Amino acid sequence: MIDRLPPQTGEWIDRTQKVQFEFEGRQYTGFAGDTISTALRAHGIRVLGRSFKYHRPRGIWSLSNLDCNGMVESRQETNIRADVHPITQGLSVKAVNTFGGVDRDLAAGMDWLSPFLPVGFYYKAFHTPGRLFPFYERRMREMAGLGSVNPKKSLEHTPKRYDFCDVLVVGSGPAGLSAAVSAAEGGVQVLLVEENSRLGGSFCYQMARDPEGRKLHADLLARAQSLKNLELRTSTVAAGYYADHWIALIDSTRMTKLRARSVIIASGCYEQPAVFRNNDLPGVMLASAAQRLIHQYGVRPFREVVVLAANSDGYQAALDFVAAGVRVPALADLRPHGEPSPLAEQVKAAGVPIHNGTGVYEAIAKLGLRSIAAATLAPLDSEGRVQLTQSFRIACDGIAMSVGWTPADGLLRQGRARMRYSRKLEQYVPEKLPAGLFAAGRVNGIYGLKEQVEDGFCAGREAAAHCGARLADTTDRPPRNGPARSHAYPIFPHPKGKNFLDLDEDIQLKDIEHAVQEGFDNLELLKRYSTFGMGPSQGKHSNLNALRVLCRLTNQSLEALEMTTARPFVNPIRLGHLAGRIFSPHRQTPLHERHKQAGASFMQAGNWLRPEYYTVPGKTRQEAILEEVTAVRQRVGLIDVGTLGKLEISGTDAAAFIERIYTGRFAKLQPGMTRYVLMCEESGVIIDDGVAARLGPDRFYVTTTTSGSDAVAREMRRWAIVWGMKIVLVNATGTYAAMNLAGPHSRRVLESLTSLDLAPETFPYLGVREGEIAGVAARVLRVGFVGEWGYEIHLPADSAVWVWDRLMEAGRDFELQPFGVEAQRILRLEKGHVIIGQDTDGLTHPFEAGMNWAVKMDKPFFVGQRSLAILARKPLTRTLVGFSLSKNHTGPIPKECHLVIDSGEIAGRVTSVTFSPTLGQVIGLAYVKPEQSKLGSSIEIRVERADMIRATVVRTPFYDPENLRQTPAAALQEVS
Amino acid sequence: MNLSSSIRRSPVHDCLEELHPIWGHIHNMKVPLRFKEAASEVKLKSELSLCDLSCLPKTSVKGPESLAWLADAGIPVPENVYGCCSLGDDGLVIRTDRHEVFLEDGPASHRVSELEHELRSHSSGVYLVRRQDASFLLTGARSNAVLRETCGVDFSQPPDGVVMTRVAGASCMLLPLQPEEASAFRFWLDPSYGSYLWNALLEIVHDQGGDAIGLDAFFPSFGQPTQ
Repeated sequence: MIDRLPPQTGEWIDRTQKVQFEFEGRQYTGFAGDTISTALRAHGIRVLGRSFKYHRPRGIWSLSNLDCNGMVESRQETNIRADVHPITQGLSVKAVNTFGGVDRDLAAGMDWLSPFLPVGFYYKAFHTPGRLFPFYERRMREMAGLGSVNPKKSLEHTPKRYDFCDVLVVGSGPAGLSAAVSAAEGGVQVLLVEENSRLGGSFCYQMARDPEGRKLHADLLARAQSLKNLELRTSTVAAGYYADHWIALIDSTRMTKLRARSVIIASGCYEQPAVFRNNDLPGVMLASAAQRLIHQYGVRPFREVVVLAANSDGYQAALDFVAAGVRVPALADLRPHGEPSPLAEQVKAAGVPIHNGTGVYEAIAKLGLRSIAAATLAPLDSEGRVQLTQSFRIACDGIAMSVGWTPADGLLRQGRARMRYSRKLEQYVPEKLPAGLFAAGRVNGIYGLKEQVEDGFCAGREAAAHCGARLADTTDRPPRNGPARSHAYPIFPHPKGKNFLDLDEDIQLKDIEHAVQEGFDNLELLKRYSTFGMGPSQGKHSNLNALRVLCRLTNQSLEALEMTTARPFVNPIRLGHLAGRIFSPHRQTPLHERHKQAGASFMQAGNWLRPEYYTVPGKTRQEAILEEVTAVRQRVGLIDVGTLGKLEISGTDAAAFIERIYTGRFAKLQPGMTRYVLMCEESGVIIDDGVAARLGPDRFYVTTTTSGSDAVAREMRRWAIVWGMKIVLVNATGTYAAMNLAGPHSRRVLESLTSLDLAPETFPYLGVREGEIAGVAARVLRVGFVGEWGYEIHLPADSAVWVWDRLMEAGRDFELQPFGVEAQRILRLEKGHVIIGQDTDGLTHPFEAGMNWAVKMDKPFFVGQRSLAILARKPLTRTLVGFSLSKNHTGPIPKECHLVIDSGEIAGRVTSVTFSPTLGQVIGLAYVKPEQSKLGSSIEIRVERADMIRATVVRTPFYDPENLRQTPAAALQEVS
Repeated sequence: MNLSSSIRRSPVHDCLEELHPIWGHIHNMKVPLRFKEAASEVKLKSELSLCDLSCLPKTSVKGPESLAWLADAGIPVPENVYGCCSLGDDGLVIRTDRHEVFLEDGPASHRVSELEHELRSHSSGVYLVRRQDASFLLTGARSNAVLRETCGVDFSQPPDGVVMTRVAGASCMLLPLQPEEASAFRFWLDPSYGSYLWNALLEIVHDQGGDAIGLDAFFPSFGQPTQ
């Protein structure tokens, strides 16, 4: 390991444990605690990956998830961040986005083609000639994207978990540790999360050689570890901030859904780059990355480095490099007057020449771009422009940039903090925080070690007090003092370009300039057109500089600019973490197993599982369904209708309530009878239907559609409160099972199981009776949804199987057949019965659905009446009619939603259609123009491939229009 | 009793059948008495177990006169909404609303059916709400870990009475039975979601090293084994 340094105090690696791993087919050795990038760098490997568009060689740049230069994949996982992913024994990875490997990437030529790939080029090319688009699309898909998904990957369960705390602290640097200790000492439950594997944040790399810093780190850590009410979690990212302090925490095994009572964000800052030519090549990196390499991983980042600084952090970094044996031939300070602190003298004393008011104009690449050979420095004029005539070259193999910071404020923004740009600090700082959210440390614009600790202490106390801890008043927060740690504009144009603002997306300075020239001068448009900030790093290293360029080009100020919206997740997370253990609640009736045993093929109906039909060996689906229809028409069938909504409404105002809720008349409905109910919303639109059974003077039992029960119950409760009515409403949908016994023999089957008098004189059509069926208390309704003599039996769910089995036994002699949803749909369509939500849509009112008969406009009041009164005065624009195709029809059959066409215009659509085995022809319902609704009219329906077929408007019901099937005489007659 | 003719079935009967229990009956419902040896199930009960208690009869009484009617019937009603007290003989009374009370019998008591019968002849102001809830009991030292995967309520801060919440996405009424230890929880939910929740919870219980157990572990003297 040619670039491995001697052991460093506080390093994160364990040199007693060697780890073998493979990169790009070659074996390497690292130490436990190394990441993939650091272990490779220790071996002198500088090229870790290839850039997205131009396939330029890339290496370590931030070492802290601010870039995706090092993205690798293994057999099991893709898009692994090499900078932060630990090496494990036997790990085998290769770089993503290469053709032929990272060293000999065949797509490297894309860099030479860059003049032909300007910003937004894909919007301007590849659309002509149109016939080539499939070719273009395939090539684009091959070139774009990063890692590849392995569909054969073994399944891992990553179940999510809930967790709770009083105070969550994000970040374990000086401010974070101090805040956590302070809050815990205030007596509340505290959880501190740190995304790295060790606690300490900037203690671990910026202050690693500072005795005061090391002591403070150790002290805070010892205090934190001694507090029983403070839990410390490393390798855990706070990835998303949701309402009411709900935070998504991500670790290697799961997502934890944490609910905190208050949150302290002490997540620090992201170091920002300077923009100059070739600022992306291996060897050019952020100064903090180089410090991490040295102090945390014991790796020498360069042999000779030019430091580009605009703050004291750059000087500290220079001293760290010297101490690590790295030669520093120059420190270029962008500031005209340089560093005011004693650090400047220390750097000079270390033998580092300092050039004030000087920038890096260009990194000179070696052949192949795999490393740099020198840096071109040049003084800056008073406007910050490079004075090329005075430029000079310095040989080096690295450039370390320390020109500024931007707060890691993603969580703050997601938490609805308002940020403002501070000219004093040249960074965004929190201006207004919602209750329970606190910021501390550098993310709060507080620099200086002592000040960060103090700021954290105060934040901890505030957060604990927010949770109800009684604490003495704290001192004021330390002020946000300058000087600014960030340069206002570290961006230098170059005629040859390749000065990158966004490394993820290969966005150069000229790309932003061109986009603004093309008119994309608004931040939202510029972002989407240029794609800056849209790569895996989501703008952590590019947003601020892009904003600076936009402001300069459009003469705006950063203070006035509104940032784009910050949304979860702060870092990319695995989809498996999001999926977790999938909970997908579904409902079953108590007869579910009986249906399975009978060979049911199930379908989803809302969140219920229902039998679509019952499979029959040797028969197709269609044949089986038609058999079920025939069984009901000619003998007797049994269907589970337990999914229907069932509401019990009782109380002195029950009848008046029903009268108001539904469009029909119920005040005089006698106990023992039922009536169809239609429910509209206040706009007059139909929202549900069912049957209301009056069980007593003050007792009603009402059914709703399968999908409507919860919404209807909610709406009823709301209206009851609004009207101040004395009712008791119970949603008994799951409490009762229900089954419909229908067909000419239904009465004979049922009467063997009950002592109820089923004679039509005593139990007429639309009647309801309470009694026992097979010894079980039940409500029996004589309803006719499918158009045959039938009984809908409602009974307690726990007895459903018993009664179903008794009915099946009793029906054996009559060839009783269970039937499913599809057969029921055909049967009801033959009777012309409407299904709410299928034959009606979000705008359908009763008049256009032909349901005038269900609406009693002369009632004093019902919900929707006023709107219907207005609609009744307007001409209809569409009407629902029945249609049929000729019995000799051959060719395609319409489907639901096929359009009705009149004179080349859309006149309506088909809502229901089926082949009717009873009638021997195709029938259906469709919306048509009112002038097309005359019986016998011919309408045209456009089917697949734009073919047109003719249908005839006919009367509904299609079957048994006189309702003779409900008369006693017809009970046992088969259909002729 | 001939178990094949038991009229009542648990909402999760088919799920239980797949586990091949030793069957018994309680309150006219076929119930699993044991799945394993008794000693194993007692051990699981203290570590992590899931048991179906849907057999226990339940009802609700609702209406402006309901509290007075229950008081006349000698039924104690908790003072606070969501409060819980004993009905005697392992039964429970839970006040689910200002004027609504949920009652559940223990394995040997019949108070629920008695009350339902009495209510039939009562006049206005008190209404019977039939209950067919699926009902489970989750017990053991690791039971809170199962809830941590399925429920967003913090049971380390023990609530006073029942909690109306969601468990694995299904709406439930949840009662911590031993709040300080967070080691035993009752669930009641709409029976149509019963199979879903039973399977979801059992999968997690298995992952955490627990298993389903029968009613013998809780009510050893009541279940009659199958012939």
